[in-house]
Amino acid sequence: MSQEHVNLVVDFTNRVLGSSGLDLKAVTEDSDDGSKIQVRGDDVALLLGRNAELLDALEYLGNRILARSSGEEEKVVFDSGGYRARREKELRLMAEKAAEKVRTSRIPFTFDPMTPNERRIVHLALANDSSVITESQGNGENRKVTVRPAK
Amino acid sequence: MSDGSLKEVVETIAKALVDHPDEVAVIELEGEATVLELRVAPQDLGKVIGKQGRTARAMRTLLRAAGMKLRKRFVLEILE
Repeated sequence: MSQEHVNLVVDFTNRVLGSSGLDLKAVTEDSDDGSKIQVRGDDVALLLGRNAELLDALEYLGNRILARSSGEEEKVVFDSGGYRARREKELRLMAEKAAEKVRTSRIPFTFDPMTPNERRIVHLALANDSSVITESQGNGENRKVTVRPAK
Repeated sequence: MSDGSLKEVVETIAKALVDHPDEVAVIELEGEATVLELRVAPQDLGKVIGKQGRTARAMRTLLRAAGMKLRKRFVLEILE
């Protein structure tokens, strides 16, 4: 992904945030695994509330703009502080707890709806656990992960 | 920052996504909730709604967050 394309997404996001009245600003952050867009400001509570629904919305819109301008499939990640890493850790822990519960109770457990990326984290967290199987069910924003006993 | 600019939020997003930005129009209707009516060229309708309505939902999420700050409710209507 070129810096030029990332800058385009940052500019777009800041134009949207600027008109929104929210005290939030996007900046590019270069890391080892490519560019990331960091969103910061006084309204970070509104950004990260409801499982970071607004951060995900900005990421989704930013990637629509990126796809239109670059024609590539590559995606840019939006983060705020260490939110994505914190959430991943939390999801892994939830996955382990759910697996433990299912193992002892033999009753399937279904999570609340999650985004594709969050579901992927849960599936991966339990991929090597032979005592349970995981599957996604439902459509669109209502898609949920279910953990079942393996046999 | 003025609060009349959520119309601009919708306009900025829609214009960036469609093939015919000149045909993007947003009308603001002040009521109990502020209704933002978005009109685009017929062939661009899918672009502002998105797969499984995700683009429209992302815009509504933004309006809700901004509305919480302004203590006002905003409704996005996409006209066919």
